[in-house]
Amino acid sequence: MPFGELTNGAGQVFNGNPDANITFGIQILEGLYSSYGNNAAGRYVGSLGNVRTPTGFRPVNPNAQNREAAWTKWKNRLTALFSDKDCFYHKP
Amino acid sequence: MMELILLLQLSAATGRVSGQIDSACRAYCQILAIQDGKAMLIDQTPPFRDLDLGSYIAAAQPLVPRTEAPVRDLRSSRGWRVVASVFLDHKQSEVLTRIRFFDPGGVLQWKEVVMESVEESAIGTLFGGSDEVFAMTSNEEHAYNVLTEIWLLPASGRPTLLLTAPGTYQGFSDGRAGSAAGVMLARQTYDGVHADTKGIVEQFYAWNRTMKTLEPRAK
Repeated sequence: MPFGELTNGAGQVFNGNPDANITFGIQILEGLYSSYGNNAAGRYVGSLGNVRTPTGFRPVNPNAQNREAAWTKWKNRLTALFSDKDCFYHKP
Repeated sequence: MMELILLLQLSAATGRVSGQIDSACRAYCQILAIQDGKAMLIDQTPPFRDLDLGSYIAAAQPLVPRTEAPVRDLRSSRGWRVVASVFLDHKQSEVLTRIRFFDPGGVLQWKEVVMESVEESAIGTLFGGSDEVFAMTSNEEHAYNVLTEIWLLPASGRPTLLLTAPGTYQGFSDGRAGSAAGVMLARQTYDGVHADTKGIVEQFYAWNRTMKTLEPRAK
């Protein structure tokens, strides 16, 4: 494979249309949310499991586990932020 | 006629599709099927998609469970046979690829799981000399999710994992014409979290014929 050539990813050819790409991504997020609730941050990236190797266990996809770990680290603060009614406060 | 209608209703109720060999369902189903000579992931999670996982190799089916679909079947000149098959991981509801290494006597020596689909694979004396190796790059979902594994296939016993790295192999050199024997990898640098880490760098791994190792170095 020539240097710099990328795969299509997710079985979809990206044609350079950002709106189509964003729409596709949002659809995937909606599907993941239906299956996993708000614990799909890592799954949006890839597989979350571990596999056995001759030298021990390793993640199937380190990127996915890193993303999941980032979500786990920040989710309480993010949940608090988006639960804050004062974000939309206005005087009666 | 009534039996046909009932059969169709039952089929629709279970969501079974043509050529289906396995399925994993949560809110939606992911189905592994063999259709028109292809191993297909039929993902019913919106947005619905049919993902081509590679050409189905029927000749290798007896070597793997019926719930797996062989998509690669490579043989070395010394008799190693490496079969890669896609399967559904029910625990994670994901499709992955399993590699099986059969030694020249036909004995299964090792199984290894890699990413969703196989991008490229090679077998033979890729570094020149007499050492046989097997290389595979697998990928899933995003271009930055890519894994290359390179294995040494010994005269006997288990294969040895020489290299596992997040990248695609670009080419092998056999050490002739003054060049070092080894493999050039296009490594993905993304850490899965920070967008500014996205990128690709070239990294050469030199083959040490004495130690039977791959070592990163400038080409």
